[in-house]
Amino acid sequence: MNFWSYLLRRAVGILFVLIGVSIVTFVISHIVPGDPAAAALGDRARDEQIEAFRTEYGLDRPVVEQYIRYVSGLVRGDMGRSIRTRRPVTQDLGEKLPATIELAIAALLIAIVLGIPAGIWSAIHRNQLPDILVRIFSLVGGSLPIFWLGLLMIGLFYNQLGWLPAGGRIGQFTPPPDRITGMYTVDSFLTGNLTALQSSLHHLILPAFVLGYFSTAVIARMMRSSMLEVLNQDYLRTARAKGLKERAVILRHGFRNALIPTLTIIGITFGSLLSGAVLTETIFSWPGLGGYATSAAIGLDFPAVMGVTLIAGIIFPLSNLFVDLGYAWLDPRIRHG
Amino acid sequence: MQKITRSLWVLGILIAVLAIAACAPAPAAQPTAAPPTAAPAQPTAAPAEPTAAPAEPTAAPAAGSAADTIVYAKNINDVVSMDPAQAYEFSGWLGIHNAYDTLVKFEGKDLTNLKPGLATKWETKDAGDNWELVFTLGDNLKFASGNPITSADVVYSFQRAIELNKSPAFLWTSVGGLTVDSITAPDEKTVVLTMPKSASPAEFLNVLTAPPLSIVDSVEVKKHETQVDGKNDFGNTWLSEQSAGSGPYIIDHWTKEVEFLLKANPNSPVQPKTPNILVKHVPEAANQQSILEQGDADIAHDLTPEQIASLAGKADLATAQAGNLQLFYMGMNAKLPPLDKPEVREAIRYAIDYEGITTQLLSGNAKIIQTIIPDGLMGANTDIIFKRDVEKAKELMKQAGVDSFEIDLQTYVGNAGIVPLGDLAAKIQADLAEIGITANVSQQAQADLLPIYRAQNASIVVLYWGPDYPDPNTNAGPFSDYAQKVIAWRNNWDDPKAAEMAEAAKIEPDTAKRIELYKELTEYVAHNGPYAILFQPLQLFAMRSNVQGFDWNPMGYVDLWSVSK
Repeated sequence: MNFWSYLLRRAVGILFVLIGVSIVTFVISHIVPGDPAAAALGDRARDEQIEAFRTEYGLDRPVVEQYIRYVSGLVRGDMGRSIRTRRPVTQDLGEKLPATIELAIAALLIAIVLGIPAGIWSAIHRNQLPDILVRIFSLVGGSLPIFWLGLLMIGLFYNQLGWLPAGGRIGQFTPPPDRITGMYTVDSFLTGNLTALQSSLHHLILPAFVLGYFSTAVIARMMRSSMLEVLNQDYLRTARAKGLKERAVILRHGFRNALIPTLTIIGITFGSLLSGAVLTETIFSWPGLGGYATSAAIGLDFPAVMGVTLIAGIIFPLSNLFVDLGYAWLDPRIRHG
Repeated sequence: MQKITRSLWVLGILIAVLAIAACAPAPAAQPTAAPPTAAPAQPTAAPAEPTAAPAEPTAAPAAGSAADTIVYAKNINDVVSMDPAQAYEFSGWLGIHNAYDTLVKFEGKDLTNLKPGLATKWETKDAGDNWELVFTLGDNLKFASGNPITSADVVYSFQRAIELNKSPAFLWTSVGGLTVDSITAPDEKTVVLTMPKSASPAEFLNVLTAPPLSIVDSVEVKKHETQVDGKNDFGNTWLSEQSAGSGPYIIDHWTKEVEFLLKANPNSPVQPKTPNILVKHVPEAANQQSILEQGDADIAHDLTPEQIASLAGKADLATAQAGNLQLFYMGMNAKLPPLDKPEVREAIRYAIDYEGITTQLLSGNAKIIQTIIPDGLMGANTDIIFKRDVEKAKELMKQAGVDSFEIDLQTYVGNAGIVPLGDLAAKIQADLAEIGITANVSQQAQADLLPIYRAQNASIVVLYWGPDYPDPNTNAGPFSDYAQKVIAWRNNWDDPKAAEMAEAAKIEPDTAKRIELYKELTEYVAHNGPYAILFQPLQLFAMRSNVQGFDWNPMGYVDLWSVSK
């Protein structure tokens, strides 16, 4: 089996995951107590309005029939109409998802750029001051509630220092860039709109840091422990004995091998960054998928909940797939197919 | 090893440099960096040529600058649409109220004196089996597009709302008793609404002031009609994100959960004091306070009473209290023993510490109201009927032959505006305990509790009700008339006398007589109904101290064209 067969096999796997996710989510969302009509129409809706609502959303049909109708719509690219926003779910997701992806990628970049060097630095200075500092940094990162950290960062960088904005994706007097991907930083770069690029970067830093801090801590800890393990391996001793410079020993031989377990964590982190951005998005008024998912869940907005769940159901296996492909790149002994 | 350490340091410094570079203040238009200059010139004359209809927006344009823009921080998560025929949420009404005109209107925060809007005069005619409401439109009226406003626009606006059958449609059909055919235009200036005798022209005139009854530019909207699910959408898709009205502003754009921007309408006879109003979606109250304090917002809408108190004495900031027509009430299931005994319900009303709730629990940010029509609406009865009297309450329990009992008390989770519902329920629980009633408090999501309440299966609820439109019948009917299947129904209170009194007050054409009838009704319901009306909360605002003219209308919106800084 070659590489393409491997990819095909994984794609089929993802399809089964999606079918499973859709069934479980659909069933759960239809057996939870609560009336979506009550959530959507409020306390002044009349009986006939409630009945019309149930008919419109097919809630008066058996659950199995509702599911079949949903899946048949899905095949045509129709994820239904959101109960809360009254718009097609695909349209809502098209607006929200790029904002969340942009934030999650930025957070992941921060986590990688800070976490990996911190882990290496900590490992090679085991039990010395740098190691202690990194361990404190990691401990704090793993313990701080995002909500509190967000408010703290706003208090420091916005209220006190005035360096960074408190929220939003772009300055309130800066026109957003023309839409290409929906990610402001990317779109402003692609269209050469430097004002929008600077403003969107400016707005991205704080939420990305807050969202990425926990992941930075996790990556740093994982990198430290795997680096410590690698540093004691025979092949590094051999490399040193051959007269290689310490930098080459660490970065060329140690780093590459220590990166494999860290890559697993990075893959998992990306999925959880996408789905875990709820608080960060709320604190920073970031109009992404997190807030949309929360409102959908509270409002018993089944079509929107299904849409968000399916997106997560695609992203998690995809990030796992990329991690698996990364293993092969890092370790030639691993071959897919 | 040292070289590696040095490499890592270099990398760290590089990251720091990049971060600092990105942290550099953005150019030009950041509000903190742009000092207010002279106030911009107000448009003095309407342009000779009608302005073109706005093109399909590709990217949302930003407001002008800090000096000519009021930035209003608010949680606008509730906006579903900016189409008057669909919007039925507070934030949507805020935009629509400022971008459209109605046939008649109330001015400022007064909700009792009807004034001319697009119609300069109106009259109610008794046409035998029907009422006829006849409106005459003013001269030289124009939409923002430059199109003249005619009776055809009024007919189209009302007919499309009925055809679309979105949330506000009941205002025409149920309240006004109107159909598509009963809205006619004999000539360009005259509109006739033919209403059944069961409807109240006096009530419907007040309904006509509500934002859903706004008049849309039929010429513009028709250009954007399209088929949705095989049916004409009457321009609803297009109108959801912008406006086609004649108000002092146009809705430049609405971006879901981001912002909506109002820009001055050059064709309006009322020129706004501030050319742009940017309503920013800021869901977190803490964030609203931060950006207000830093000067990045001029008005903050959703601060908690504690936050408002913390701003006292801060330079450059001011706080304000305004009216709010919500009524918080305790509903009792009138068929559930022992609540089926009027004496027990009266005992409960005497057991409640109204003063403690408003002054301590709500820190004075509420007003005691004990009848079903809130202060601010015509016919409001602000009499203090019940004061806490534990001995009297115990005596009433004894008269009812009830010593003590245990009962469920349900409310929603979280806060309702400034009111912490759990704390309110706990306070009432403590008050009731003093007369021997053990209330088991539970908090549920609206989607869970509402079906129970609707099905008449709740025992005691602590909830709230706000008017749909500025007329007393929006409260009197639901609280008094069991057949309406709203609040009286949910509390199992079927009292034909109350229903008849509410109906008589509704259809009475004479305003003075109507007020008298509502006084009688509110007193009757206060003693006989299954409610303990608790209070009317205030709406709290914080703003920069240079903001002027912010005069909140208790219906839930404000004349933004009067606001300046």
